[in-house]
Amino acid sequence: MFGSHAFGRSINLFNAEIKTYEDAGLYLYHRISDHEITKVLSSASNLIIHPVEPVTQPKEITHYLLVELKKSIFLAPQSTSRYFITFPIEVSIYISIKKNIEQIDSFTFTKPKYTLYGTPAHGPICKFWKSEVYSKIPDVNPYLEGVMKVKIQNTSSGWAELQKMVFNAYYMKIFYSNFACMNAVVKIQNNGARTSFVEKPISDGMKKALELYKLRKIPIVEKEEFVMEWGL
Amino acid sequence: MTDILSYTVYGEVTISDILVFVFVVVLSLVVARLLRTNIRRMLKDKVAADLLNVLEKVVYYAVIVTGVISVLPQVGINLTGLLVAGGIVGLVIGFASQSVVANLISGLFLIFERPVKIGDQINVVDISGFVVDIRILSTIVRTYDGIYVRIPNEKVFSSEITNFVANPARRFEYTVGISYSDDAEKAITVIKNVLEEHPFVLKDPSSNVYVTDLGSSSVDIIVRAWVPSAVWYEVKSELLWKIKVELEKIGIVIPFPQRVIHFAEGKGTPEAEAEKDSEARVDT
Repeated sequence: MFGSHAFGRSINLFNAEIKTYEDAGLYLYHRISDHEITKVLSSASNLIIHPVEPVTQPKEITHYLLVELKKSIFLAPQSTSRYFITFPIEVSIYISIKKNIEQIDSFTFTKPKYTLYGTPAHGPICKFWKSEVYSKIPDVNPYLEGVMKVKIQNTSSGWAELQKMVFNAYYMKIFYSNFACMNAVVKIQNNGARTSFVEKPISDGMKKALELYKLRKIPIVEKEEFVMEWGL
Repeated sequence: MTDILSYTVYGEVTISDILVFVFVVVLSLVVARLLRTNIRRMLKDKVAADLLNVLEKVVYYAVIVTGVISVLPQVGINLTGLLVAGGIVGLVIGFASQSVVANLISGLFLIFERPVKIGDQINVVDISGFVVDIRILSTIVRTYDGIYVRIPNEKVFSSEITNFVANPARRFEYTVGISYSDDAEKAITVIKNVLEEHPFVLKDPSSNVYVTDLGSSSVDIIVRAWVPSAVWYEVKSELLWKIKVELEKIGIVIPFPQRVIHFAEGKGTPEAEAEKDSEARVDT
């Protein structure tokens, strides 16, 4: 599924078929899914299919992901717990020549939804996702869901109820093997929580996916930790 | 050493005076550079690059000129005459450039207060559109029909500004009328499903759909939905038709204005009128 594919191959991904071929002297990229996309490539480039930061579909209007938990987690004061949750999968197609990589397409098989974290006057718009909470790596449909390991530290002096987590996609580190994964940390404090990512896969043998925002060379001025100040 | 410093170079100007002059000029150069660097750092992300460039230059040269002028008497250049002449010229220029200065000051306030940013959709002095540029004297707006409008900053600053995208989310509202014979609960369910299916209708704040009025021709259902400000217009223009199509799929129609007329039994029917006519003829 994810990985590098030589030009001329046909790849089936869930409800989509991706083909690269030569036709009448043109090198073509063709995706057939809910709608068809055809693009002309200047050369017979390799395709890289990677999971991408799940905030780009159907339109890039935010770089935050809000995961709402189907069951809230109650955390004892001064405690650390580890859980697994899921996140939506978005697939990105890149072409590469030597070390030059460019994104040519991206899509998702999930149903996108957005929400607001905070009030209409403040707080960011977030991509919305609802997840179960697991104690071990769950079996997921790799085309629809990835697995996120979350280390939750309650550093506050009281019990904390965690119903949702908000993550900044600029700092997401996605890894893949036969499914995609991320490794996150949530630090609960007296006045909210801070979320961040660890650049480490959740199991051995996973490869690092390309980071979209690094590839775009966008200077990022935001802090690495997202501060959840509008409630947990 | 003291002898050298008090050595008169010309007029009453000594070497120490020249040294003081050089020191103040160098100091003002250093201060100007420091200020320029700090302004660049502070406003890099807040102010457009070309405007920042102008601002840096204004501050840089203002500090140097102030430094040099303040130390000119030290080297025997008397500024009294210059100041008097400068004062009169300044007064004349001041009156002449009143609006320019007002626009300049307003521009600076706009830059620091930032009620609008480049790319925002605003309404100011009855002009709606996208902010293309905020210059030192004027703000450039491209109206929705693509017209270039230059608004003096004084007007922008002193007028009521509506910024449509300053907040992350905005609400829109439709009133959908259905026939009295249709099931309003069913219609509400269908409308809620349409909103739920649309990715940009926000999960939170949640949408409201309810019967708001029992009108003369229809049962009115109000639909209120929150969407990201960035896509507000496209979602608003897309959803109403989707709602209409989905309502029609389950047989709910949007009624035309109508009036129901009741006739009293027998009265007003053609037969009754004919009977009335014949009775009148018999009487005569």
